[in-house]
Amino acid sequence: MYKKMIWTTILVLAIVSTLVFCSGLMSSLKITSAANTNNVVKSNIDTSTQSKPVVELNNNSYNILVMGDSLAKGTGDEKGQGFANDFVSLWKTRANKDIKVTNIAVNGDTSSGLVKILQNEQTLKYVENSKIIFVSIGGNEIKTLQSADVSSVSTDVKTLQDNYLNNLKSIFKSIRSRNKNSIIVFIGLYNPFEKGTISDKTVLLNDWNYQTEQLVSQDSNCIFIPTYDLFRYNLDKYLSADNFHPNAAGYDAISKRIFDALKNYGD
Amino acid sequence: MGKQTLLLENVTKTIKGKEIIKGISFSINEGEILGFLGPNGAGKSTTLRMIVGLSTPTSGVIKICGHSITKNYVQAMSNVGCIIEGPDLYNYMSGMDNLKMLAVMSKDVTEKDIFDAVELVGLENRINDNVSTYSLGMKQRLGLAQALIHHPKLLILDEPTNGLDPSGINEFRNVIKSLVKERNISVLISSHLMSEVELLCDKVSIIKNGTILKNAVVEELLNTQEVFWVLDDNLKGKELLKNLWGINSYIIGEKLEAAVDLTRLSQINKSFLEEGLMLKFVDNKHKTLEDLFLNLTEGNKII
Amino acid sequence: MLKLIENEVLKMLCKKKLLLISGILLILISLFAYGENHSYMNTIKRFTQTTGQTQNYDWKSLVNQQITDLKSRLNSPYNKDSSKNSTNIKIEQLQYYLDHNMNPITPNAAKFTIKFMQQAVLLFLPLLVIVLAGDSVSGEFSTKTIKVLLTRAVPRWKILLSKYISLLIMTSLVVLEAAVISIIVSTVMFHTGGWNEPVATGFRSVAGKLDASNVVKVYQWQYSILVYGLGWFAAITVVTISFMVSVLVRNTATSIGIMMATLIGGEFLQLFLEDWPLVKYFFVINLNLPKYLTGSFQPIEGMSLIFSIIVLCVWSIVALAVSFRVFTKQDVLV
Repeated sequence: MYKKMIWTTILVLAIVSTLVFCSGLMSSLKITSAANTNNVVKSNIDTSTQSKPVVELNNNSYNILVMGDSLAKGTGDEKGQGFANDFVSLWKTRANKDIKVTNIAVNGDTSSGLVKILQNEQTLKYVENSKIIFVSIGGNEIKTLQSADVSSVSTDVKTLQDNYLNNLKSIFKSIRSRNKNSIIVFIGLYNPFEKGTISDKTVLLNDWNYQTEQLVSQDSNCIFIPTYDLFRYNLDKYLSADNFHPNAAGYDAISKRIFDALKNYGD
Repeated sequence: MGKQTLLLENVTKTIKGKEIIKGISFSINEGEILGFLGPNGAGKSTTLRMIVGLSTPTSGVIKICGHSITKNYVQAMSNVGCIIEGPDLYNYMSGMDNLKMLAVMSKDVTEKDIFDAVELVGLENRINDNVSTYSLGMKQRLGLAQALIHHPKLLILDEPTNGLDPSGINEFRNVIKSLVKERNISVLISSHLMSEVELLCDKVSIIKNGTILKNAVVEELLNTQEVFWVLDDNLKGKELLKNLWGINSYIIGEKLEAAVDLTRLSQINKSFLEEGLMLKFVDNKHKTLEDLFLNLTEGNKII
Repeated sequence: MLKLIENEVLKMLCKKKLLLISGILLILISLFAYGENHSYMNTIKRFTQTTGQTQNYDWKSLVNQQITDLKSRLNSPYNKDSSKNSTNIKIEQLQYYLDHNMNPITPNAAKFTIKFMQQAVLLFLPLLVIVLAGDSVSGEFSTKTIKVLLTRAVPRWKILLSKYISLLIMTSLVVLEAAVISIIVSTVMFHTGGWNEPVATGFRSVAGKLDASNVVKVYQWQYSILVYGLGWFAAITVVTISFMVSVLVRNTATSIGIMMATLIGGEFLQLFLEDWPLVKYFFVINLNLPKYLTGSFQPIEGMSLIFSIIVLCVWSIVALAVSFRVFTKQDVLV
């Protein structure tokens, strides 16, 4: 009968959908709580890396430590210097020893990656004896927002920014835990896509830099070096072939600005 | 006598600290029709609800065909069909759908049972229409049908003739009587229509203020040996009855009433005439149930 | 028992509730899809206006750049195994976009269907199922048909159970319907499926930071089953509690009103009383289950998927216990 058919269809549909949804539920549970076994594996890896001998920076040289992303590394500089080495040539007169630059930056790294790097004992040893610590990070995170990838699951502006700021706090904490006296120089972000940017993305970048600067100012010996204005109208001259990283001229400009800011430091 | 289909023993019900039902007892045997009478607020509905499990009694025993309603609910209820305070059925379905739905809730109810019940109550023509289109009378019939489809041994009907026209009431009476005769079921009817109860019921239970005033057989109640005369001189007649026959009589209005042995009635009449009294009327005093009812329930006269 | 459930389901169908809900779903989802399409078109239009470039603007080289960066991060010596998973998945995802010539911001059927449930699970879906559940028991009392239902040779708990199970059946159907209508409408509107796109899930929030160590790769169609499964579970809880309210107040309008007030009040609670830890035990706060899959921050300390599921389970069980106890013991005076 008509009614019988409807009833059987409904019953079957309901049972099938219930089973499917239950399996979804179970899988979700499994995914979000699959923690414990991985943790065990992690700790094994930890101990193995720590068995490597740790190199210390000795105090006979004036130590500068550079950490962060590809900008810190100096990617795009046809002379292979990066801003750190450019800065060294300007700082030579102020340091009374030989200047040694240690660059532990990683191309494409984000703030989370830098936090992990700073948990490494080797990194901390470098931090201990450095007089100046350069940090450049965040560009790879904000880049995802620039491409307007709004449908991506884990992109949420505030979440991303909060995550980054929390990481920064952690980074500073790690550095200060080993070295209370060094100056930390934070390099601000510029916009390599200036030409094709819609105004609300600029607001984003400005806010990002602003929040970073606020956080940086909470440290007693830290300075924020803005680069946005340097690059705004000079993209043609300062960007390298990949239209993203600075070229030699760009890095030079950055290092000059750092020097300008620091030239009376320590007097 | 047959088996007892319904037994109530000392049933009480307390709601919010007030004792509504104060210990009532009565019973019905197979093939009997019991009339449940009482003024408004006496506790009829409350009692009926307790019998069918809609309320729980505070204390006391209620047994249907030997099964306690509280302990053996399913077995007790499988023997009961009822209409409580109105035939409220699902308005958005047809009468037939309603019956089919209710049929699956009992054991072994076949399509034939449903059709038989529909035929019995006379709803064959309208059974497939939506219940919202039924008149009150049709709804009452449908209510009766749903009470009958599972062949219960006990029928409980709360004001079942409400809304039926006189022919409907007549039909209803015949249906009940034939059911009782054919299937030997028991019926408990709560009604205000005294005339109907008189014609239909074998026993009555009269309830007021939560207590049973009287449990009696209708025949006995109505069977009185009271006779009345209308004489031209009632007072003289009264004296005569007292002196000659030793019968106490009462003058009420025009009538001279007394309880007499009907076999001696003709001789008494003759004696009136011999004394020169003129006899206008002499008749059996027909007591109606209504008189009895009003009598009982006015004040607290307990007979 | 099955027959009883069949009765109850047929009753609900006769009352045409399901039709009403289907209608609402269809209209709303169509509106959402249209709106999504509209805003996407607007974004493209704005972009082409300001830069004078074609519709595909520069997304390909951007995506390529992202892939290169991620790959170099993989090879860095400082990178622990823990984040290798999520990086790999992200690379795969970007590669998928390139291979299928899909601009990452283009909406497609899969993304829309998932997004709909993520948005709806908090208020819209509960409201729909409350309408369904509100008069399951109350309706019988107001039309007095409860008398004819209970004076049968069937114990009361069986009758109540059949009503509850029929509600569960209808809820599953409603969630299924939401999924089907979303899929159909979005496929018609956006013309692309995107069901095989790999997605990373399993992010967790650990001490305020995103922990990507247990991220796994799933395809969009699997992810949608996860999200809808969670939405279904939240709906079941709301239905159970509505059911209890329906049994307690025996009046349809009141029970629907109470449930709606609770839902909306719960949203406010979340905003205003974040500091009060007891709030996390209230069921409304725990309804947003799909959010846990994305690893967003928790509003209140100590909340996780397993916690929310347990809280919802406890609420459901208590609601059922109360319903059964009250229903089987109460006097029916209607």
